[in-house]
Amino acid sequence: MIVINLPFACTFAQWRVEAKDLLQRNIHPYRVEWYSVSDEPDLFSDTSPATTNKTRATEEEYRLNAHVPAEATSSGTAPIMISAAFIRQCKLALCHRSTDKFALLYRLLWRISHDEPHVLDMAMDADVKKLALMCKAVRRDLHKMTAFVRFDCVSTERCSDLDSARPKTSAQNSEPTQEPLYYAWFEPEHNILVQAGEFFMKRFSNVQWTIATPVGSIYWDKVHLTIDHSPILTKPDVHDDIVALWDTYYASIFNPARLKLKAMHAEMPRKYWHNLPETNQISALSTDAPTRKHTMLAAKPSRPPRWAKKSGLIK
Amino acid sequence: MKKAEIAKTAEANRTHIAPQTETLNGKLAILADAAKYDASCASSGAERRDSTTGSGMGSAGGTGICHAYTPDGRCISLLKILLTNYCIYDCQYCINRKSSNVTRARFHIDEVIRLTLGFYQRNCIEGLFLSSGIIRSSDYTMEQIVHVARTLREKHDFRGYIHLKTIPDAAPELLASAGHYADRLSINVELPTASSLRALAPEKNAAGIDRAMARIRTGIDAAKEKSMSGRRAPKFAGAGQSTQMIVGADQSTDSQIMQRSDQLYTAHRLRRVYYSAFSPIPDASAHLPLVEPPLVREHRLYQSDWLIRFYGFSVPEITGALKDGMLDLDLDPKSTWALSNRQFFPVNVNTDCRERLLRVPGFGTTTVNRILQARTHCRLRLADLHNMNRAIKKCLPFVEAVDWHPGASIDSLSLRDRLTTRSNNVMPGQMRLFG
Repeated sequence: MIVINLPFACTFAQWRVEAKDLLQRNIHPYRVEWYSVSDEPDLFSDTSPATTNKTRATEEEYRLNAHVPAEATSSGTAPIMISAAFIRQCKLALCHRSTDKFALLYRLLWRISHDEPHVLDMAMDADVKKLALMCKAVRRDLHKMTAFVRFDCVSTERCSDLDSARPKTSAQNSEPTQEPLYYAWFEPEHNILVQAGEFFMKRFSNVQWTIATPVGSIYWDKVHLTIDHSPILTKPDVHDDIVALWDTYYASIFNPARLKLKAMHAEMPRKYWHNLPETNQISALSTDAPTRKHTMLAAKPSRPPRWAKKSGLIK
Repeated sequence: MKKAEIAKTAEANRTHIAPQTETLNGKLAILADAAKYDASCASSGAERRDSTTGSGMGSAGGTGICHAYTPDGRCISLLKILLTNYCIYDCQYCINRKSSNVTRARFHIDEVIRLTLGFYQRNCIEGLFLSSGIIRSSDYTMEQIVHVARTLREKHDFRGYIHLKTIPDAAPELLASAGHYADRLSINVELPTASSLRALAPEKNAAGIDRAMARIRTGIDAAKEKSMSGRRAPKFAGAGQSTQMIVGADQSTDSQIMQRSDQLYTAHRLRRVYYSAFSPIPDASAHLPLVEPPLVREHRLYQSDWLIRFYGFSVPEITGALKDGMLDLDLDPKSTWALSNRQFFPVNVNTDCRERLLRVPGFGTTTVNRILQARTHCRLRLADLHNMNRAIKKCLPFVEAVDWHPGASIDSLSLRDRLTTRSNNVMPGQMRLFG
């Protein structure tokens, strides 16, 4: 049995090195056991000797195996042809939090390179189906992260200008103002910090921001994007004044005559609610909705306002 | 309408500002409430761009993102507001018609900009969808709308999504300028027939709307072409144009609505036609009594819209199977078509073409793609279909596989009931409303 240890935040390049090596040595998937250090988060948080030892142990075993002659005639020099689509899927699936992703991907790689070159076309195949589900879960998680991350302005000066209606004077502008810094908290299900970081970097490249998560944080200082994999364990208490306006918008854009709670839950599951301030209003809005609808339906038409009549515009 | 009258109305508008409409929060409440009957909320289809090369914020061009959902199941993708809900038009179905007693307010252009940028920076929205009641004149109102977009783009280098509602009889230069700054333009046709429009929205003019849509289409087409020297034309509403029709406010049938949509899709190459179930509003017009919003009807219209745009159906094929021109509320339009065209089935999943596969009830485009891909390597069995598509039961009477033939079930008299019960299971909440 060959044991391979890859980090939780394993990149495609890291996995590729291992997989390619195994394949060239013609090692059957059932002989490989993959695991990730994320199984033991306490080892992950510090660079403890235990981790290094483990890696070394793996390496030794690895070298040991290297002496074993290849099982088949495979010389290890034949190029392995892999479609771009499979590489894209691998990259996505590697972000999945499960640890059987490594084994699944190697198994598929093995099948593609041996007697089933078209296996990825077979949507009914159990492995292919599982891969598709993993990719879908990661894609959805990433999509929901781009949707539900909410930044709060944590530095004082310039962020509050939305609430003060007064225009800025030149004197105020010449004062050294503090740089606005935006802070967000999010709990992604999968390891998608790199992709999410790129998305937000492109969107907000001219301000500094941080997104903290239980699996690490992303910083953007207007030049560099840094991903730190040390977990942030508690949600910081940050509030932005704009939340009040956003709450108003949320309540006003809701149409009480077409209550469809199931549709809302499908797209915005409850697990996201505690990071979305406007969701506090959901219960009140949906309780009042039937009454509001019936009031509208029962109301008698009123007389047009006087000014509209006076202006001669009402026939 | 005479100019003097319009000016007088505008004056009246200004002097009737209620006190609670002074604060930004109060105005936001009124002008978001006024905008919610517009169904459009798409933020996809724009040209790819981001803030890395600019001084402002924003990115666009990927799939649309919905940043929140309200209890009506609709998404919040854009900040959807009116510049003002004062209006000199008297469209009977509209909450903002001049004869309504709704509280009126008007945003300063600066306020709209600060709201848009403030919400965008917090990642609450993908951009702005700005509309407005008509004040003073069409040109004046359109100019105000364009002014907001221009300021966002030029002064703040905003690269998020902008959708502008266009006023049909505004000057062509204003339309051109709106297209330059916006990703999407829309003009609502509101009602499917010219006679309904005359009856319910006397100031609107169907021919004028069509002319403006044609003009927008010309702008969009021109922007896609390159000059002889290979230079690109200036950009114009990259995400196309859309429109909305109100369902249930007049006596129009579903056939009429679909025919009008089809005409809009072909003549003006619209990206989307939205359907909006006529919804109760506060302070309704005496000429247009309120009803429960026909949500299932709206849903069925969207389903047929999809069949026409993505499944190769034509409008006469769908409307041909209808009773009194109305879609069956208990059964989706594809199943309705299948039941009245039983001779078309069974469809063989191993040999039939894509176009035929797309007609099978229960097969979506994803399932059809999977079938086509897999069958190049093997012959498909029932178990394979089952592994590709969770809604397998629905398609069973209509398909043929290596180890499956529907036999006489396609001609069974109870087939309709079997399909109906299943569709009831799919959305029990909606069906109960009308049950």
